[in-house]
Amino acid sequence: MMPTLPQMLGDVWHAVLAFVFIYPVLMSLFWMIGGILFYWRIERKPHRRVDDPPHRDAWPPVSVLVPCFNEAKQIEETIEALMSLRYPHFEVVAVNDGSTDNTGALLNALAARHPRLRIIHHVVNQGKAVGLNTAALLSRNEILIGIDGDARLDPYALHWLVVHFDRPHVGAVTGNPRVRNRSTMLGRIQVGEFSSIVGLIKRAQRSVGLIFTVSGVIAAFRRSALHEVGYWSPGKLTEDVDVSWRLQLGGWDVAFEPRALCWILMPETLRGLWSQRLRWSMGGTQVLLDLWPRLLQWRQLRLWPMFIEFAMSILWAFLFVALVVYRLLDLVIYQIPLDSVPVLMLGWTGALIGLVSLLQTTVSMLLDRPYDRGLMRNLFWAIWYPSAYWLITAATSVVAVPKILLRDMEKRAVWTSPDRGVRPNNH
Amino acid sequence: MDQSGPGRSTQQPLIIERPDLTHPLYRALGIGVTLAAWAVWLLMWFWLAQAALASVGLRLPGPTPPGTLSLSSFKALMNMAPLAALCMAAALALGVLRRWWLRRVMDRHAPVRLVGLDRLARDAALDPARLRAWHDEQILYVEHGPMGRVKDASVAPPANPTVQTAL
Repeated sequence: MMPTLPQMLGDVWHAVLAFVFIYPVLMSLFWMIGGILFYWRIERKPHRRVDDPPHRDAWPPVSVLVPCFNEAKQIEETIEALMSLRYPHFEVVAVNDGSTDNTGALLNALAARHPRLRIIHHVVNQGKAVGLNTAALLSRNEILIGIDGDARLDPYALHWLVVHFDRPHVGAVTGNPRVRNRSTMLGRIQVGEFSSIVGLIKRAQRSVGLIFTVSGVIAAFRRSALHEVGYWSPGKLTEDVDVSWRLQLGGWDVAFEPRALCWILMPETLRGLWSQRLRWSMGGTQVLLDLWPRLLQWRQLRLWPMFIEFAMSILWAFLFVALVVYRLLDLVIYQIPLDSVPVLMLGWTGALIGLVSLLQTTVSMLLDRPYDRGLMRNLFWAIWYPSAYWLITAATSVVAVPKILLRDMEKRAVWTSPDRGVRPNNH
Repeated sequence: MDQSGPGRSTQQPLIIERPDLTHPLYRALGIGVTLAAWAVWLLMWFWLAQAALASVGLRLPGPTPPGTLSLSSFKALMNMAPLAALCMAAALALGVLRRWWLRRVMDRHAPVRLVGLDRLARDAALDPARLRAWHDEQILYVEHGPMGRVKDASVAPPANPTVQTAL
């Protein structure tokens, strides 16, 4: 009788099983410890009151860049919120990237009401990266802040971002995106997920001086740094990941500011969520495939831990999916025992993974609680975090890698029409 | 009710928590499956207690788990753990050292060389005077070249109606 896969692989099989279990647990522990370290060393000073930014006599002028494509439903809200910012000196440069709806007309009408709003109309649709590049070229200031067309900035967000540029080696600062729409189960799961993943992971990464990516929805840049690395890349699916890595490869520091809040709309359908997460996976893989030769230079040693962790996460995804497929095969061909294991971790392993994940979510929510009232209410939905995050990560990673390998590298990244969740004006 | 349009208030509430906008069946299902997920997780702790008691020769009656990782899996990983831990620790230490070095060196750097308008224009293959003029305009219509580089800009909308700008 032919030996089963576990018999053929021997110790390697057991090591694979243990890796698939240990990796999420270890990473959760690292993120929790790193997040707490970041809070202790950096975040709690001077305080965590968002509406009481550092005082200074003069604030430098900044340009807020808002690339838009078919944002007629949201753009007025976004622009009106920008006009309510408490920052003393800023301009808003909104880019209408060849929208086919009413976005251009709405922007022109808004410009008539708000002198500090400037509008750039692209004659032909060019994509978000070109929109950002054009806005950067046509803006007046050294500090550029990119936000999405459906984002709402906190009135003091610019203050908290700008203070980081007092340090000359800081090339960019990313803020703290918070989820606005919490009407469905998916929406509520993402509230906790954003704290656990975006917030906690960024804190943990910053505790060792690195960051995987700025959040494209709210990120401030030093123009000099952007100019040095060539601004945003039109061919990248996730231009935020790409610019973050090129800045760090260029020796610039990329900071995280949890008090710079930005409220965003996230998908509340499975299709929308899948589409978004697949794009993120593809984008991250695309960037690392493009930059890995530069990453392997000795002078980039400080970035290796993050590169290795990303590579391990992709390896984990493929091993996890392979084990699931093998398990399904075993269940289907039940007459022939294949010695598979239930990789969905029922049993005591599942209890431990669940415990660690819940701890991670709780720690992250406690850290973000001053910035998001009512956040802890979403702890009830946190039981889904292990499956919502790890399963989706595994599935999107496995699908993303071949898609990216087969993608034309010169192809321009195009806008997608994201699912923006359940909102009152949908009915 | 949202009435988007010029001159009207367009601010929706910051947090949109409107479960009433979803179908009651979906709401009930969502709560129900989440409670079931919590119950399954708590059942896993029961299995953990079973395994712990079984290791000291005691038996806890009740449902047994369908299967789980064995100790041999951990032993196999433990064989590789020291090497992996050493690599990770080395990478982290190097990262921390380099960060410390960067802080000491970079904070003493000369001030950042700003990108002036002339350099910005030159690197974008544009006339500085034109770029300066564009910086003063509130509304611009921009044409791009094949690589997405700005080719030209004007204050007048283009002749073709591709770009919608009139209400």
